[in-house]
Amino acid sequence: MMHDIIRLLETLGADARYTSFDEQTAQLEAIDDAEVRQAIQTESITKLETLLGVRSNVVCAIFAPEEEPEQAPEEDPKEQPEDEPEKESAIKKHSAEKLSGAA
Amino acid sequence: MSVQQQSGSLVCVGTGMTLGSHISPLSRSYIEQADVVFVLVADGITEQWIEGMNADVRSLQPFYKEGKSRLLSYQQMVAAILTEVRAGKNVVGAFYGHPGVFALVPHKAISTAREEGYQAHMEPGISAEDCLYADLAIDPGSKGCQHYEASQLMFYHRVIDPSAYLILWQLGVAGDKSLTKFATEAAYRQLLVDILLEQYPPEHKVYLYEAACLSVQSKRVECIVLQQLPEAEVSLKTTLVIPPCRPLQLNKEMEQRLKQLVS
Repeated sequence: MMHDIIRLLETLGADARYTSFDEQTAQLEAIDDAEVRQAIQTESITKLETLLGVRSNVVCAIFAPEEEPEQAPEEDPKEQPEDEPEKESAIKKHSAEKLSGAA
Repeated sequence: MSVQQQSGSLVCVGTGMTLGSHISPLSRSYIEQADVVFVLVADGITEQWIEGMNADVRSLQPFYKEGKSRLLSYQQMVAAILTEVRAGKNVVGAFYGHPGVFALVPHKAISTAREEGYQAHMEPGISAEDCLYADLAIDPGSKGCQHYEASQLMFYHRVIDPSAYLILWQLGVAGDKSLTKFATEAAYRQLLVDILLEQYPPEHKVYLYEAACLSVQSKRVECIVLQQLPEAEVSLKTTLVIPPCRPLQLNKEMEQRLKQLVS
């Protein structure tokens, strides 16, 4: 379901026929899941992220304001990223078959 | 020691701001053909969209943690990217907007890769700045347009021309010297306002802007007056747009000197 919704969102973003509110609404009627449909229609993006099972509370700051940033403090070796990119990659490889099956 | 071309490469691309709308055909092609893709975008749905383009997509989000210096996070992101380049892989870094605009990680990853002899370059993307010009009907050429990172304006003495547009980025973390916060409080924004009040009146209309990440989402263009900024709702995605508060001022001396050239 998630991949179908994302594919629909991509289509709505890429096709000039679906840039108007009315056209988008018509396309959204094709979504079976009423909760997902409502989350999109009410622009409840946080709820939509939860329903689709994707990452929420994304951090999007990639810039440091100081000209010569001070050396970053060393990380506590006991503290590791919650989901290391390598582990996530392994999970995603496992799901790659699903992607190819859904294509 | 001569720098030789080594196997392994890096391309940093921009995915644009709106899912499906802004990614260039070339950037998408790089993502699809990469051996490994590192992704850092502005929302989870777009991240999932990118993950559908390649079998090995790794989010850089796990390197962020509130209370942890973002500088350390950025260093770790660059290290993760370069590890794969050094392993001989064709690596793509997919960043939201334009990968070179208010983005330390792509620039640092590319410069480091090049120093080590790897092919590395950047593909432009549609940035939040580009969306801002379209959404607010601003031509930066009309009056001129200054761009500063909000905290940088607070940490350093910068010259502001109030007859040009002033755009302040990363407003949500304005004033955080530690780089450990994901949001700063009203008191920080009040200090920013104190700087701006040196040039602008307190009742000057300003705009809080957020580009739409999904085509079904509305952009945010909220007009407030400057003195309301501390109490405004602000996030990491919010940009402050300050229109000019005075007209362009003629340079009459230069006008005379230019006249002499044609006489």
